[in-house]
Amino acid sequence: MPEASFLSELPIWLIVPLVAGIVFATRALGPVLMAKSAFSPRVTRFLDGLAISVIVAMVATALAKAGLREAASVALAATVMLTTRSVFWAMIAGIALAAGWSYFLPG
Amino acid sequence: MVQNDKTTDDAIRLTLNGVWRGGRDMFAVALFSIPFGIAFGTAATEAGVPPLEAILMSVLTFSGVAQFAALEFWERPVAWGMLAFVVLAASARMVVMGAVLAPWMNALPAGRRFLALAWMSDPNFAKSQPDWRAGERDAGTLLGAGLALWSLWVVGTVIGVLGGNVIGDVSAYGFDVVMICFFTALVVGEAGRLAKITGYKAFVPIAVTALVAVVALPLLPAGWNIIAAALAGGVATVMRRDA
Repeated sequence: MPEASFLSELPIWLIVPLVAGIVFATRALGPVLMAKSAFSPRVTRFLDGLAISVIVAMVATALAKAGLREAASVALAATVMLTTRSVFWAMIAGIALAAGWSYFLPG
Repeated sequence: MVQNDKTTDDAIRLTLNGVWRGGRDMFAVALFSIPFGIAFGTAATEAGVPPLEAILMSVLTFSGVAQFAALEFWERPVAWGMLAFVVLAASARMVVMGAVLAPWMNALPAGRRFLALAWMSDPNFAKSQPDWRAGERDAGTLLGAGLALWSLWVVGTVIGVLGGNVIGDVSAYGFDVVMICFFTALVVGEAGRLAKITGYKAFVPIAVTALVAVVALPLLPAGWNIIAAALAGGVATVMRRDA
């Protein structure tokens, strides 16, 4: 096919701008799509819900793919966040538990 | 009484001061970009990507998921169509994040809007949400946080490309759980804030989102379960508050 041969002739380094272009397009597209939308209270609530939901979805997906070590780290991070209200210390606690788990319970 | 510039001025803007504050606040998290950058640089080298191209990919793309996915296609003949689809799928959640930030971003001139969006990533998006609700109106905080993450991601990539596998497996140090713990802490903080307003109902959209994310994980192409779950969470939020 002519298209296929044309594409096969492209230099491989074009992967770099192609990937960068697609990623930038996804970053820029959201506000462009919303530019014509009126931010009614309902839309605003939806976007508010979406904001935290994206993060929750990433955490849930990561946990579904992970094991006990990661789940324990997340549980500890959540507990530390609840008690200290500090994102930093929650993160450090989770990292420390994961590192300790890797050291004492390898494999 | 002047409290601070966050609450006395509602004009949405992008300032150098905001960039500085965003970078400063994200710096501790951004430090953990270095081992991941090293991992990418090492993986890129092993995949046969020349050093300049590997570094340029981090400079221009600034997306770990998309970049690692792209490495799978670094061989001739390049499967351009599949590469584009995989990168698009891996990055599609950015469309949703951008839509969430639209009220903020669309109030900026186009140049500044796209400048800030160019450095949007998972951590600075997640951090910007509570800040936004707390009255922050300077989009420079998003950009500054992104620049901190990006610069250290690039530093890590350079180390990985030039120095090879200098740190080994990042999971040995617990670095692999940095982002998930960071996101969890942000969710817990935000859920606690919402619970004070709406009571236990605050947890309904969170539960719906988590359930959809897990159930859809084996059913949808990689990354799309996050979009489905986020949309479900958004709908659950609207229904909860409208009930």
